[in-house]
Amino acid sequence: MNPRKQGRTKLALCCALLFTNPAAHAAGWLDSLFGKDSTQAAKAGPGQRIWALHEFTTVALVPREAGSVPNRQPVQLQAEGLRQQLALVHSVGRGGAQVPLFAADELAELAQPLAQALERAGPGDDVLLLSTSRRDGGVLAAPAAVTARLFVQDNQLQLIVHDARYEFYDAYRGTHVAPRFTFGSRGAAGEASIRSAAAANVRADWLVLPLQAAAAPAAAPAPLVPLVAPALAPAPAAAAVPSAPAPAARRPMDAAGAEDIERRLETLKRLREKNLITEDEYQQKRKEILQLL
Amino acid sequence: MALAAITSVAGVLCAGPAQAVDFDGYFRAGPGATSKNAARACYNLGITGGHYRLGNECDFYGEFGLAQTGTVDGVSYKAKVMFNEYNPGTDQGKSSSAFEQMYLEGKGFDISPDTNFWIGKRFYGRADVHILDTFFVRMDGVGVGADSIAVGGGKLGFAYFSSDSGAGFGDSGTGASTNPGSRLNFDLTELGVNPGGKLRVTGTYTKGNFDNAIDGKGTTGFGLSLQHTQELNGLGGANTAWLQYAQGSAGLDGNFGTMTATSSVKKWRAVESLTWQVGPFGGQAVALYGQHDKDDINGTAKYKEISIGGRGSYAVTKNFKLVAEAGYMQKKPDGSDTQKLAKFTFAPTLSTGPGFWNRPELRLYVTTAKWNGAANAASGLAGLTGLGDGKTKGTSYGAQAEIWF
Repeated sequence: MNPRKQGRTKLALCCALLFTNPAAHAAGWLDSLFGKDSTQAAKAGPGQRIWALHEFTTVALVPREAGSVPNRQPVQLQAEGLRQQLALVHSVGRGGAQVPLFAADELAELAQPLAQALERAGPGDDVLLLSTSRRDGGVLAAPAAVTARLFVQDNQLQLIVHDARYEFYDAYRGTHVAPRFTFGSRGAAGEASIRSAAAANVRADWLVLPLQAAAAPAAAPAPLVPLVAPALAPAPAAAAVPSAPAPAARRPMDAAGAEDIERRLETLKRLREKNLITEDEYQQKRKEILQLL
Repeated sequence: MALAAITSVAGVLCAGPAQAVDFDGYFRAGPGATSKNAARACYNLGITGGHYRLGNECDFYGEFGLAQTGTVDGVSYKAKVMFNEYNPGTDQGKSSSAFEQMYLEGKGFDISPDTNFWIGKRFYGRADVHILDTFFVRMDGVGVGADSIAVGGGKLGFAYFSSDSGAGFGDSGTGASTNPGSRLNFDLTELGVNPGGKLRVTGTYTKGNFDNAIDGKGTTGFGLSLQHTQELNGLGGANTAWLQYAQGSAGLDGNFGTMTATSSVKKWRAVESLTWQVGPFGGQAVALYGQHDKDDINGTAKYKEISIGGRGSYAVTKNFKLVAEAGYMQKKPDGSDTQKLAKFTFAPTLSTGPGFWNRPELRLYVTTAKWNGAANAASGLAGLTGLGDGKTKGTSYGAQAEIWF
């Protein structure tokens, strides 16, 4: 019922207890009920729409926002590629200081459920992410939540973050009133400002991550694993994605696809008219969409 | 033994993937004094809302929870244990430890995917006023239930609790029931009744499973609690109000009440609580009024209770707050004088943030209180403070750490 404890504190607690309790070396608790790895969504069922990792850490499929165009889902993503891409996303503070949006241990847990959610999502679904962590702050730091919406459009993974650090926990503990979370939205910009060396901004709170990873950006220590497995080359065994569907851009264009592009262009135009994106961003996105024809 | 059990369970919890374990908790501790050659005194009146806690906690208390959450084949599970440590005075002797929670819950079962099923011992449905350390809804206990059922725009839950003889919760919420009983609760929450406002309706039915000393039968009871919470965005807080009624062995808080009370004994209360955070100024205030019928079996007279007070904090810097708390409370039993107590505390406080709710806090405090002879007399020979000096005013000082995580 509580947010994840910062990794080092957990390690210290576990180590201290392990020295006093030999039984701790036995099989993982509740393995008989949940399987070997109870926190991972490795056994996600076909109808699963919620991945609960901690009390305030959840991945969920919900109906896409009203008025939005259908998403290009389902799509099979490589969890490792997704983890690497999200690790490059930074939150920009008021003074311009940038910090990673997610902690490393946080992402290690989130990548697989997110990939599974996008694999199960239909065109009418968005993925909501609530992730709460102390992010290296230790027990003295209040847990803070990232609230985000993800979906696939234009052959890109769309990431809209409403809150990069929502500090709800102290008030929740003090009042026992359940917190209310707000997720990123296509129609209304949130307060978060995010950046990535490997992704472009649609808005300050909205990043588009290419499904086909390009060369590693300068900020990345090593070449990125692509979000989707290369279509013609076998994927590495550790990140193998069997029978990954071809990304949307490689499908033959049909009437429905043309209508989809038209809707995207109209959406893009509305964003520009509302001044939610710059002229340069508008032109760049427009060019990318037209290339799909 | 308790420590061995705790470390064993915690160790097994940690044996799985490290990221699988949630660790949470709370504790408060610190030294204090009242006067030369006397134990530390605290200033409380024996009513609900009779304990304004800032600089007024003579006990040491901590609770520490471990939980594991997982999702398999679409079913989300959580297993939780929580143990606590309590000492009414200092950290020497008389300490007690217990498992306060030990339960398993799951949601996503194919027969009812949106319903959360649970069984075990747990804190349940709690709603409180922090500055009073009082839960006005508290269905804690050993039970079985189902909740999160979508009904009429809200969420509905049902639960059954049982208290074995000499164990469990009950008897006015002391956590030390001396009589067995059964309890049924329903809890309808999150009913949107106005913009930013949510209504909660909680019902309680209780039955004592024992022979009553007077009529030879167990006693029944029922209760109804209405709770309205209103977001106050302009004030950076919320307003919560309760209107609660109960009879017999049911408590106003949705738990067991006084198990031996006859079914005709009635009680009710109205509570109003406000929280705010406007810039550096944050706080919580409360007002309470209640009436309790005469209880012949337990020998208590009909009485009325009043409590009003608040705590405010002003952030001088990001890490330094000036905190003050004031409270006035009284109890008027039929046929007896009104018991009165007023209390004031000033506490310079270090914290990790400037907000009222930011924890941890490291606080120094000085507390002064004044009460009347009726309050002393109602507390017995030792008086309201337990010092037995006959005084009707006192001052305590000390230091305290408080943290939740």
